[in-house]
Amino acid sequence: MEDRSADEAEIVERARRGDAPAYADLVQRYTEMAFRTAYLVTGSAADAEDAAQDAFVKAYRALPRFRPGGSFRAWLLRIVGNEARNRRRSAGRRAALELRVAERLRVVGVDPSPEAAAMAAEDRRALLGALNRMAEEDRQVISCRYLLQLSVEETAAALDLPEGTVKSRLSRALSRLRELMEPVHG
Amino acid sequence: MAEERRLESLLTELSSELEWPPTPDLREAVMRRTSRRRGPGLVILLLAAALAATLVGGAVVTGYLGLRGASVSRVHSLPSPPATPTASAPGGVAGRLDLGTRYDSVDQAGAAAGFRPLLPASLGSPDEVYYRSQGRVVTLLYHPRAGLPATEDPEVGALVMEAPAQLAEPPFVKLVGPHSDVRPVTVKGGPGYWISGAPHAYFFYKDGYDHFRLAGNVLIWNQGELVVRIESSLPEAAVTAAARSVR
Repeated sequence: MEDRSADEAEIVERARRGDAPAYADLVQRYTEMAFRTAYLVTGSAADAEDAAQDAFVKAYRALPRFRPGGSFRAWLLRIVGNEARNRRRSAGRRAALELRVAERLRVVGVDPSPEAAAMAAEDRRALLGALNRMAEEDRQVISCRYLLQLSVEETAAALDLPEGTVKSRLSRALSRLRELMEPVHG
Repeated sequence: MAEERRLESLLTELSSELEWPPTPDLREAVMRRTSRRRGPGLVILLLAAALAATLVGGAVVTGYLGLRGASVSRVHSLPSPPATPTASAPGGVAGRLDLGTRYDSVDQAGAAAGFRPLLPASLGSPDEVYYRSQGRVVTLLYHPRAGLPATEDPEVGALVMEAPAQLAEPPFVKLVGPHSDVRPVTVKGGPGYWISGAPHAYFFYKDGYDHFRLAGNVLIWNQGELVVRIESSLPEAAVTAAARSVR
């Protein structure tokens, strides 16, 4: 992990000095994270692609202002989140995002027994159903933190919230999620 | 507390099972927009050249045919052709032809592009579908089969490429030499051109620079808000029939 961080810091520093291939490397590394974060905010793949692309361009131009030693991922995610929210506002519509499980996993499954597979599938169904019924601000914080596996710092940057707010909102959102799943787990 | 940890564990497991839209390849578009090495865009050069008969890549523009979302310029001679990529070149047909990111379905590519791609019913369902964010181009790739001979590329029977007909930055830019025939046509009420005879230069943007490849017979036309091109080895009548069957 330290190697990866050191490697990343070196690439970021090269990009700051104007090394275009180094920045292309960063774009390649973080496209998926940026695109999916933007998708969670906009609810549209096309808007998410545009937002992520604009964010990478703006980040490149803002690189001289990036603080060496800071988290490039969190810094980038703040720009991505802003672009995605702007795009969503200008589109003038609510995101109609519905989370779904990939078809291949629904069909194949990975559990050792039919009973276990059925239970896992039921858990998944209940969890997805509850997530899709949640208030958007709760769902976004849970999605960033757990489904995209962002750190608290990165989640805060992507959603433009203080880290303390992310922690308290996560705690409340998990409680609500549990309540929404209660018909299955109660 | 144990309940909360179980919920967190379930969410973490779910993260690897979710269905996400295909992640686009943004590197090329981002690097194009951030490149400081690049001079004025080729498209701008071509448009200026069309008016001023300036040299463009060694070719003197002698005439300019405008379509929404495309520029077709007549030149005395084409720029020196690049080495022809072989079928075994890295990246496969998508890499050779710079088609962008592959999608599982036309609908998915259309969602990424932000428009509904047209399908030529007479060609059937495409074998592969791609979307390239530069120019917002959706490509339907048909492999060679009976009745659809291979083009210069042995993996390609026909390419149907579609993009919004933007005036500011046309997605399709062509230079046509003296041995190609360019004939105006009308397809389903939209203006277009049938370009045949000697191959012409079809420009695209890749790895930070403008490139071109030699393209064979092409029908290109405006269909509603889109510009559509069909490249194949089919005779004009068959291509026109395919174009008229789009829906």
